[in-house]
This record gives sequence, structure tokens and C-alpha cells, in this order.
Amino acid sequence: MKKIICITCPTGCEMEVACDGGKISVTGNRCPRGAAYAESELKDPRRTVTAVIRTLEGKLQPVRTDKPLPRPLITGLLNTILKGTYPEAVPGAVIISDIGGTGINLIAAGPAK
Amino acid sequence: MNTYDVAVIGAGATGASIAWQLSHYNLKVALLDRCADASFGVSKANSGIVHGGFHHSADSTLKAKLELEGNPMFDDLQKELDFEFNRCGILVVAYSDEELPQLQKLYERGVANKVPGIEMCDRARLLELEPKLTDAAVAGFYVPQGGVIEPYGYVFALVESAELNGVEFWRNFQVASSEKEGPYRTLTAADGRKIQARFTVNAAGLYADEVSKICGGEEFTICPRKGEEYLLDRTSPGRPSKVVFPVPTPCSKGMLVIPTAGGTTMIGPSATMVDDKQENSTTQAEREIIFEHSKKMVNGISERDLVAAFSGLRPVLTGNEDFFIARSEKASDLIQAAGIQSPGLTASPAIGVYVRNILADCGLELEEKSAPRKILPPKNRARELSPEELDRLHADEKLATRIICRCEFISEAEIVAAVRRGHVTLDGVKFRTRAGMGRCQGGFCAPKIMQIISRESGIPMEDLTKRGPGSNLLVGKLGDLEVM
Amino acid sequence: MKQINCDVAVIGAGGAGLSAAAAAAATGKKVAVIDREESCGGVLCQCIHNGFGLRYFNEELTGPEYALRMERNAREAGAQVLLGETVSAVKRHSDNTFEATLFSSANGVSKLNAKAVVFSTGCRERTRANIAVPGERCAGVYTAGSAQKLMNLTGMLPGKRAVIVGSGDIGLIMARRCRWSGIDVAAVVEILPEPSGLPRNIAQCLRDFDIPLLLSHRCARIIGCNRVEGVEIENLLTKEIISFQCDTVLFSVGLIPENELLKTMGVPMNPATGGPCVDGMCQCALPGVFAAGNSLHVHDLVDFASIEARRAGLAAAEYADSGNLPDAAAEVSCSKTLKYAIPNKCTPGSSCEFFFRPTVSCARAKLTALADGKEIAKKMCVSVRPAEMLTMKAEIPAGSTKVEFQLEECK
Repeated sequence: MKKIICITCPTGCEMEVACDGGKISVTGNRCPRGAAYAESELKDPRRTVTAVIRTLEGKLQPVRTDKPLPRPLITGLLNTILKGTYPEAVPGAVIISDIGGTGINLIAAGPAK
Repeated sequence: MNTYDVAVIGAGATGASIAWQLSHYNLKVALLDRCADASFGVSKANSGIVHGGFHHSADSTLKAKLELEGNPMFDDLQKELDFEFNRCGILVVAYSDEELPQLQKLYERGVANKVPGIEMCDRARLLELEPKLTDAAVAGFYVPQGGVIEPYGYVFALVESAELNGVEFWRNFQVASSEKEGPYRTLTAADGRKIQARFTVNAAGLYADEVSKICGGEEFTICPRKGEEYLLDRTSPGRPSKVVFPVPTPCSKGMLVIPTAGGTTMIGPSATMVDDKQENSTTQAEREIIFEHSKKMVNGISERDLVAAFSGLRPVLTGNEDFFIARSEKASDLIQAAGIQSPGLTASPAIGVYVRNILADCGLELEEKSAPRKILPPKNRARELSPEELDRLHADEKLATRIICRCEFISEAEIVAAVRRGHVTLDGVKFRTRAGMGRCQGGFCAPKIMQIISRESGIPMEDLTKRGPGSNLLVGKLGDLEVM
Repeated sequence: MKQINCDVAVIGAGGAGLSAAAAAAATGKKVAVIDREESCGGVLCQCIHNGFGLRYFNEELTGPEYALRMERNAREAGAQVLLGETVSAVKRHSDNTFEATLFSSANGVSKLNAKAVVFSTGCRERTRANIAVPGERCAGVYTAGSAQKLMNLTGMLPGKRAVIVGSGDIGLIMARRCRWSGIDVAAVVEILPEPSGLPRNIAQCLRDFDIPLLLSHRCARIIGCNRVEGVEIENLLTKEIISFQCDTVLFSVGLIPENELLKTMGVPMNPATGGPCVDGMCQCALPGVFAAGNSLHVHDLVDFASIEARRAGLAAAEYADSGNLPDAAAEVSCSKTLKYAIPNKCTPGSSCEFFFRPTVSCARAKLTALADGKEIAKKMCVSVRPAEMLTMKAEIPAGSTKVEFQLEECK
């Protein structure tokens, strides 16, 4: 049994997750997204990554992953993007595609300033 | 090596005033300070009171004589130098019958010192003069010639005006050694820079003892006496119209309630002897005492309005509560201006004249400059100008109407002007313009001010400091640290 | 001096102001929304993390994305956006119109004339001085928000190892932001026995990084001659002092509504919220003056601020049109278990949404609305905490004079 706080919305349900021979049961969630999050958190924890990167012109652009990224990949992604420079992108445009073969992209999350 | 007629060590109120006096003559003058900017030592944390001349006897102390001479000089200085100054008057208030004999003694000293307009007041008259006094006020006296100035603004203006008129200001110049050879004394800084001068003035505040030793002057020690001050928002209902003093104690003028020249309210200072000349901490215990005292004095004071807490050190000569201003008997080219504790700020204009006269007696030729004196450009404080005036300024200076500090209403033009005058630290800009001094304490504007300083001075962001070497504000750029 | 005329002026183009402007402009009124910054969004621009928009847009967005959508909504509705303009004062003329004085580098000083004004000026962070933390005055002491601005809008690093004082959401978000930038976080210190931020931020910003959260601890002293060298943290239960080495202290110790403009206009303020007293249409005691967002009261989520501001925008447009609004005759009060109820007055015979901040923590509590002593609405609330706002909608019966809210813990 594991206690998990749901991070999918500001409510922050405190859930209990039990794993019984590959079958996962979740209690304490107030919506189905909580159950899905709990299951993912147990098997393959993921987080949406947000950061700012530098554009070629020296501006700063906010970025995020378009889906939650497996946690083990986060540090590598951050060290890559913080040291690099990238062409300025319109909000929503893909900056790095298919991070580590996950199909998850890094996208511009606001205008460069 | 740069050679000067006079080197003034210390760019606080004392040294700045001396350098400014000397800038009127055909002399080469250097002003040296160990800190990154003027007033960063003792003066920056001064209470900013232009004292009334009743605390000490003018017959027996030099400090009272110079205080009485200095006080009336501020009006003309303000006209030339444009610093914040308000001759708002001082009230000394007894809060119990036991204090009345001491109050009477102080009043009589004021009368003996010929303080103009000094007036004994009963409770009714006190309340007429200051309706915010509490029920505990028993009696007091009023000194109309007392006032407030912005201490750093005053020192900055003296230094800038002196610089404009030929004085060379050496920042971060910590005198580490000196050597007298022939007519000149060489002063060497901790970082190796050297200058030489015929006369040296020791106005080194807390470090006057060390400077005296380095220059072969008298042996004495300066013992810091710490004072904590608490600054309240400009909207505080506890802001009185006059400086309110309690009846003083033997080692301090007591904790005051001060309507600062900048429009805020300040309470304090405390008085504690400390060992460390770099001590600048505030404590919970002193804060509680200061608030307790000031609430007894003036209505409307509340911790809720607290904007900033800071402390300063008074440079007190061990075994001597008076100033020590004289030609050294051990080093004939050295003029001592040490132990300039309260009322040093009030006395400072007179100290400038006094030291100038000593230098003349020592053989320094004082020949007044024939060219007209250069006057500092107007400060154009957005807070003090009308919208119409600011709109007119905008025609020539677009940044005059761009507001950077929302709490104190400071324009980008004011900040740019400060940086261009050499104030390249965050505190330097703050003391020069008041940007970041208000209720948000730079929470909103500090990043912007840092960018403006960097842009105008060419100093990279990561090298900017709060108040000089070692006080770096940032450690690098995003990406400089490895994410673990 | 440039003159600008509009029906509704909105001061502050953040999550609340843009929403108010969009709502007012959608009614066909001429609306101007003013901000001192060079871009819209206010503090959202520096909040690069996700977590915004679930309630307003049904989608999880970052701060800049939320701001961009709000700006688009306001512009598409026809609102005029004035950027880089600082408002120094707002004057109410005898004919009940308003005149705001604007300062910018582009236009110098301008006068903006309006029939109604919405104040959505946001809030500022409490500082070290506000909570009177003793110690030295050295470099490296920042509010969490200024550190966030330095990192996200100037690309700089404020330090290498931080202690964060206060467990509000900004502090928690900054703990993760530090770690994701290579800055070590020694601890997050909270004076209360429970965290102030959302549980999900405790999980994803602290637990993910094994950052210790010290509850019932306070920052007793800051040490450092020129730059921060460490802090002393006091355990309030044992009085034990723990020392941490660090070069940075970030304060996230609460927010204060910014209402200096309203205060100078003499608008009555509510000491419980730090904002003005308002009725159910977000109108202040001065007719034609409206307030919404964090300058009215500090919200947990920008979504709530935007929802509230929509109401303010619509009411301001209606006022600009007709010159008056229905009388808010019913006084609102609350039990001691609630720090405040907003609005302070409401209109009998209408529906009204209320916001509350509880003073108590409990697993379950019943929230009841009484009109002149008679129950008109009730609701069960779970995991009640002072850090989380409660809301309730109620139909106020015609003729009501008093509306009272009670929060009672359920055992």
C-alpha cells in the first residue's frame, strides 16, 4: 500500500494505492484522472517539465513538455536545454521532438522575451 | 602616481563635507573610501536628524559648538545641493513627572546655548504642536530649528558636487599602509593602488583608529555603538509632523519617532556597544523595545507598517564622548577628524569649515577658484513633480515618465542618472534615488534596476553587487549550474 | 497631454484585469485595460510552471500560456490594451466620471477618462521586514517572487544553495524551480504546524526532490557579512536552533493586496482581506469603482480571480451604461471559523457567489448560509484548511437585510 497525493488538479486528493499481483486498486480519488495518475505513479512516474531556454537572439522563452515526461529523463533534458540555444518559436511550436524516443515533445509555452 | 594637495580618507558626512569645502579652492583633492560608495559606512544608517543644539554644552564640548554652527548652514546647502531636508522642528517630551527635572536641565542648556526659539511647553501646547502625542506626554520643549535630512542623499550630493568641481573620488580604496617621504605621504590601498598627498585628513569613521595608526598619528580606539532603526511605510498613521525625542539617557539621545525627510516614519535608534565594526544585524529583543517605546510616545505606530529594519554603528572614541578634530601632534601632515558620533551629521557642514581652517593654519594655500562653481543638474524626482512638469521633461527625456519603483514613484531617468554618477551598486542606486526603499523592498523593481545598472554601466549582471565586493546579488546565468 | 476616453478602465492586465476587460468589452462598451509592464499577464509571465487554467479553460496551462489566452480574449472582445503605462492616481469628478493619470516612456503623461473603473492591481509579497526576521542585511535575501522573476525573466541564478522560508505555493514552486536549475534547496521552513501550499505542490515540488519541510519552525536569524552565509532555524516546539549553510534565503510568507490607489481615493477597506469592501457585483463603497482579483482578496488560483473579475467587468459595463446598479442592501457576516466572507454586501432577490477563507483546519465541515436567521444554502466541505479558499453560491431572498455564513466542524 502506498500513499500518493494526486497532482493532476489543485484539489490534491490523498489516495491510497494497493498493488495485488499486478492488479492495482486506488482509493481516495475524486475523479478517474486520479486513478490513472496513481497507476502511472506506481509503474512509470512522470512529470510535466517546465523551464526557460535561450533563443539564438539571446531572448528567454518559456517551454514545457507537451505530456508528462518519465522522471528519469528529466535531469538529462534540463541539462541539455539549459546549456543550448534554440531558434525562437511561436507558442505551441515544437522545439525538441520525441524526447528520448518517448514521443513526447518540448514545446514553446509562451512568447520569447 | 596621482599626487594631491589633500587626501581625505572617508566619504561619510564628515569626509564628504571636508572634500566639498576644499573643492572651492585651487587644490587637488582626493576623497578615498573603503566602500563601494559614499556614505556606506556610518552615514547610511544615520537617523537623519538636524539636531537642535541643546544636548551638550557649547562651552565645554567641541561637538556642541560645531552642532550649533552646522545647524543653520543646511538651508543654503540644500539650495545648492538639492537633497531632502525639512526643518520640521523637534519636540523633547517627558513622559513622566520623574523626567521633569532632567527635561528642565536640558531646556536650560538649550537656553544657555542660545538655541533660537526654544520654548517650554505644557501638555496642551505640546498637543497643539503635535496632536499625535500619546496620553502619557506630560510636558516638553520645542526647538523650531531642528529638522530632518536624508543622510545618504546629503552625503551623495556633497560628493557629487565635489567631484563635479574637481575632487577625485576613489571607491573601494581601503588604506592599508602609508609612507611619508619628503613633502608627500603615499597611501596604499589593500588592492595595491597608490596615491600621494601633502596633507591627509583622517575622517575614516569606525576605522579612524586604524588609519591614525597607519599614518603614525595618535593612538586611540574607536568603539562601535550600535543603533537599530525600524522604518515604517509612508502611509503609517504614526508619522508625526515633528521629530519626537524622549528625555535622553547618559549615553544616547534616546529612541525617537522621526518623520523622515523622505516621507516615511522611522523609530529608533537603540544604543548597544559592540566589538565588530562590520556588525549590521538587527535583533528581536531591540525591535520589541523600540516598538514598545515609540508606541508610548506617539499614537498610530504599528508593526503592521514595518517596511525595513537596519542598524548602524556610531564611531565612539574610547574614553571621550567629544569629537577629536585637530592637527596630529605626532604626524604633522595628518588632520584628525575622529569620534564623529552624534551630532556629527548636524555638525558636518561646520566640520568642513573647521578642518579647512586647520589645513590653512598648517600652511595649505587656499586660493578660491575664479571660475564659477559647477552646479549639479536637478534631480527631477518624479515623486515631487506634477504630471504637467513630468510631461514637459518627457519631451527631452523619454525615461522621465517611465516609473520603475512603484512604491516610491521613481522614474527610470532618475535611476539612469544615479548610475551615470557612478552609483553602480543596488544600495548605491537605492540611497541615491530611493528606488527599492518602499513597502515592497525592491521585490518588484530590484530585477529591473539590476538590468538598468548593467545596461548603463556595462557591468555584467552576474557581477552586480548589493554594496560592493563580496555582496554579489547573483551567482551566474541559468545553465551555469549542473542540474542534479 | 494625451487624452483617452473610454467607458470602462481596467487597471492591471493580469489574470483578473484581462478577464474583466474581456467581459466588459463583450457588452459593446469601450474598454481600456492598462498595465505598467510592457506585456500582458502580470505575474503570470514569470510563472512558467503548469497548473493554471483547469477551472477557466478546462485545460492545464503554464502562466504565460494562460496570459496569452486571456490577452487574446480581451483583444478579440475589442478591449484596448495600454502597456508600459503606470497609473499614479485616479480622481473621481463631481459628475461621477473618473480620470486616471498615466505615465509611460512612449506617451509621457496621459489622462484617461472613464465612466467606471475596475481595479485589478494584484498583490505584493510580504518581505523579510514584514515578518521582522532579525540578523544581518546581506545580499542573497529575496522574496520567492523576485527570485522567480530573476530566473525566468532575466535568466539569472540568484544563488547556489537556498533555504526557503514559508511553504506557500510560490515558495514550493520555487523549491522545484531551484532544483531544476541546479540550485540546491537545504530546507523549506514553515512557522505553522501545517503547510500553507497545495498538497500537490508538496508532492511534486518537495517530495520529488527529498527537500525537507520543517513545520513549526521559524527563521530566527540571517547570518552573512556581505552575502548570506547561513540561517538559524528555530524549532518552535523544542526551542532548539538548527543552523543551515546557504547563500540564499527566499521568503514566501504571504501576499498583501496592492490597493494604494484605492486607499488614496478614500475607498473603505476590509481589514480581514486587505482589499476594499465590495458588494456582490465587486463594486466598492464608492459607486463606479470595482475591484477584482488578488487586490480584492488573495486567491489560491488565478482561475478564481479570472472568474470573479468577469463579474466585475460585467457590472462595470452595466454601471457605465446606466449610472447605477441594484442596491446591495443585505450585509454579509461570518462566524469566527471564517476569516472573511467576500462580498461584504449583496443584493436581495439575486444570486450571489461568495468566497471564504477558513480560520480552522478539519477533515469535514458544514458551511451554512442564513438570511435573517433562516437557512438559505448549505454545503459540505472536505479537507478544510486556512490555505484553501471556500466558495458557495446562494440565492438571496428578496427583502433580506442580513446574510450570515457559518462553518462548523463535523466530527
